[in-house]
Amino acid sequence: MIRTQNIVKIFYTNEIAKTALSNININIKKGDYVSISGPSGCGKTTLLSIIGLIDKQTSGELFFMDIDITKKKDHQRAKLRKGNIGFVFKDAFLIDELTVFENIELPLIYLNYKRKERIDIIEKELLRHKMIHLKNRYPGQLNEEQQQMVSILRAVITKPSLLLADEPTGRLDSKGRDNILRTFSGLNEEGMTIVLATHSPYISDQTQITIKMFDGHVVTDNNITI
Amino acid sequence: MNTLHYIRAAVKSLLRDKLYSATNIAGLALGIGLSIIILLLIKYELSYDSGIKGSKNIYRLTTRGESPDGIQTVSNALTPLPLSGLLRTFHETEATTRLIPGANKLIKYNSASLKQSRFFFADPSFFNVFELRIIKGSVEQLNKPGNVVITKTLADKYFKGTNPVGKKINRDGIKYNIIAVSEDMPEASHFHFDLIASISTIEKILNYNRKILDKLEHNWKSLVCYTYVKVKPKADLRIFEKHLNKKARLFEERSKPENKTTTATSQVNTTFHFHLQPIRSIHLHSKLDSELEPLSNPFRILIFISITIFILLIISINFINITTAEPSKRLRDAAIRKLNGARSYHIALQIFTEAFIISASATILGLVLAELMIPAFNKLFNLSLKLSQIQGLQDIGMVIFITFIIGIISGGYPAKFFSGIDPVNIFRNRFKLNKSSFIMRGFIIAGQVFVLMFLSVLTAGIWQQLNFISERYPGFNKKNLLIIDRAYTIKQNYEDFKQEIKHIKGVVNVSAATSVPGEGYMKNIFSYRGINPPKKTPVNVNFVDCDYLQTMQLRLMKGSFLNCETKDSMGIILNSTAIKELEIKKPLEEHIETANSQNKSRKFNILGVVGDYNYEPLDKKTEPLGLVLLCKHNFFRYIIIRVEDRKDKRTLSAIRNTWNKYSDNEPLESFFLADRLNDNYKEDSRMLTALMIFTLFSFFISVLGFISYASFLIEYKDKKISLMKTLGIPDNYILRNLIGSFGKYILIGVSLSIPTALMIIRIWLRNFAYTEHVSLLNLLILITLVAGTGIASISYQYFRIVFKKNYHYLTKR
Ligand SMILES: Nc1ncnc2c1ncn2[C@@H]1O[C@H](COP(=O)(O)OP(=O)(O)O)[C@@H](O)[C@H]1O
Ligand SMILES: [Mg+2]
Repeated sequence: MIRTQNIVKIFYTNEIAKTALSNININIKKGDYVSISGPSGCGKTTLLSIIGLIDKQTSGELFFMDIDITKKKDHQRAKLRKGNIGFVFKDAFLIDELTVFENIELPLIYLNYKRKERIDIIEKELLRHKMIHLKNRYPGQLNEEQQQMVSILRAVITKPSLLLADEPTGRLDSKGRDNILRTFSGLNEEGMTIVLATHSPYISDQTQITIKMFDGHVVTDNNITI
Repeated sequence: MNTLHYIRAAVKSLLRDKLYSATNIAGLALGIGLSIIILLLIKYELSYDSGIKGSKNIYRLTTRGESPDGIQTVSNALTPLPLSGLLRTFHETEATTRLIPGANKLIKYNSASLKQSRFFFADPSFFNVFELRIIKGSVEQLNKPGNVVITKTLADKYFKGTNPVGKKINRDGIKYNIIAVSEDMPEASHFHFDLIASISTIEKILNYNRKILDKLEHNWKSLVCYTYVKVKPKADLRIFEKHLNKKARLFEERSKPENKTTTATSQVNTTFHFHLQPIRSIHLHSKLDSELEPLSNPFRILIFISITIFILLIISINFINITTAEPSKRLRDAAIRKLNGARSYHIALQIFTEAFIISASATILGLVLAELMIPAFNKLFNLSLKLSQIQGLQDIGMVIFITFIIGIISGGYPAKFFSGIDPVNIFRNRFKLNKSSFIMRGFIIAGQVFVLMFLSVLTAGIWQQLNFISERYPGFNKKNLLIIDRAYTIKQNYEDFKQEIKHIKGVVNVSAATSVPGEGYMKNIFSYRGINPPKKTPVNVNFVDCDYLQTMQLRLMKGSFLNCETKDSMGIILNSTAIKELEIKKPLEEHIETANSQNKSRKFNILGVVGDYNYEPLDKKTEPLGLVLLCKHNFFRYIIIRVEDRKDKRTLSAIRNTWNKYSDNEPLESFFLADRLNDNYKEDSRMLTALMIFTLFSFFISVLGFISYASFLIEYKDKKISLMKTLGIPDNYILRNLIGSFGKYILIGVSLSIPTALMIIRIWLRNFAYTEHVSLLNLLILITLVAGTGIASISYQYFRIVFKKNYHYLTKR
């Protein structure tokens, strides 16, 4: 699914160059449930943004579904991303004036699904996650856990092959956290590849594979030798 | 495409922030309302004389005259009487008519007087040239003396409910028979009439005196009537004009021996050329003497068009200001959409949908506002604009086009601005726009400053010039001068009348003249033989009585004024310009000559020299002038009365009573000279008023814009500001920093607008001989005002936000 070769990311700000990632080599297979863990500032988010085809590495090579991304232009990356990669963050990032239904609908709209199809797909998902009663609510009328569930549904509504999550439980209490993690496990059981960044060992322990990072380096990788 | 989604999302986004949407729509609507009114105004101005059927083929003949030495002396809308007859012989002519304005005499129907009625004489073919609908009766008998056609408006006013056809009215002792009621001239016409009598009535008025009549009818030298011609659609006008002039010359030559006019006022030695002037061009482009009604000029259209463009620009900028004032929420939404598969154009489409919804609702509201504001504008501009004048596909298309353009302009930058967001921002949860968008935003505010400053300077410039003209000393005392027009009714009783007026308490002096300042003058070529070669120049001649100097309070520079006792009709008073132009060294010992109809020269002894005074409209450069004593047989038009106080009702009513005693019930037509002189600037004053309104409007919009920009700037620099606050840097230092960022763009706007506005003012000032430019002080005041408003806005926003936010969160972390 994802393979990186010597990925380096350097941020240049006001004359200071900050190396956020140095020589990252990872290999994530289809159906894996991977966590990237490490202390704050070690480069987890940066790595996710690169394998999510959002940011560009400074050097090194990146393969997504065996396609060489390294030289792809912005709009080609966007096209590859569309429907194939879902994102979840600490913040739910819902659009306030759209209802739950409309928020989840967004990816389908940009993939030009017909309205009827959209209704079918979304209602089915909402039913499955026992959230159909929230369909016409606005984000402001939901608690944090519900908001995060909506953002997860939005991320997976197109049945993407890869789900990236950056500290997805960072705002939740332990009950909410466990519910979300259960949802992730369920999605993984259905075959979705998941990469989850977290600074919490409690969470990384629940994934099949953990990539440990420190100061821009991968420290241990259960599968891949450095 | 999921059109519905875009519309729904747009509506929801607009409903989310109601204050934002309301401000946006209100600003746009007001601007659109104003623009619609101006567009109506422009449309009205451009539509002049095109409301008449076949107006494209209707021409007015105008007269240009040159003296034998090629000096242009006549440029007049009037023509000789026989011209129309000559036109009739050309195959290019479809119809032609003469039109002679009648004097303002009392018209009576039974005992009611038809007040302020515009009375004309015309040929029966008038209604073939101007194809007005005949509502009642028939105009066929308009060739018979005493027959008259009245307009529907007059009929409705004085013949309520009854059929006016067949009724008799009385004017100046002559009975007129109403033969028809016609539709009125369209409002946007260069002349209007209430009654048109047959031109043959003039014979009756002149008691069928053949001698006078023949002289009139065959006289190619005196300009008495307006001549109109409707040409055949495919006529070659150049050839037509050429042949016409050739033939006219021939007739002119032939008629010469019969011409016995001896007064210096006839244009004896002048050769006339006749020109075809499309009536549609008269309102904006004609610059002739003896126009029937005041005209406009293309500069005004230019001003109005640029005002419209500026208004649309300024309201679109306002939209941008408000939309981007606090951009992070929108940037965040755009990033979320992008992360979920939206491309930049999806975001742009979303913003444009919002802009179009706003501009469409603003247009609807704007039309309502226009409807509400039109009465006030009509009053101001003395017009009768109606919203219903927006009609036809073209106009509706125009309104839709404006809506569309506003949507494009106002949506354009925000669309670019928000759609450019990189979704990577989501990973950092910080939504920051890029530097180029920030700079672009600065230039937009500079554009707003430009428009505001441009309008302000233009307004100031026009105001200053009009003020200057009305305050300037014109070389005579223009205050408290009462002028009686058409005073010739008094004729031989003038001396008695004058004595009686002089004895009224409050009357300072009385005089008579053929012309008064602001009116037209007779031009004659005078030559001075005291130098070699002799010097020739056209001189305006005014026949005045001996009290003219004192009444007008002119300055006598040399010699003495015309003397009543000596009755020396061969004496002349020249103004300084005439002396200079004729290059006369010692004027009091010299004489000048002019040729009369027999080409015999007449000598005039120079008795004195008066200082230059503005005897033409105040803004015209003083030309050579000669004052000659009125003799018994000279025709004078005006009586000039200097009163002590124009507000003294008793003096004025005493004058009126005396007039009634001597004038045989002719209505008194009088005005104060200062008012009449100011009337020349009425259109300019109206333009000034309109400009002031729009400047004020743009000022308010700009204040909104400055406040929005200030909050935008503060949000952009949020991190820097919080850092500085944490480091304990005092507010005034941070504020100065912010003002510096803002001031840069104010400076750009101001420095570009001032030269542009000054250039436009300079073009406008070309209409004036005496000009005053915008003073440095006024410019400084305006700059201070604009810059001050900008600084005040940013200070206000800064302290508001500093108080709201606690800038210590950085230290806490
Ligand atoms: N846009 C940026 N500009 C400069 N430095 C950055 C930027 N984004 C991240 N960094 C730096 O890169 C390092 C890694 O950050 P990040 O990937 O956010 O770590 P994590 O997600 O593990 O906390 C940090 O030191 C951070 O300060
Ligand atoms: Mg992180």
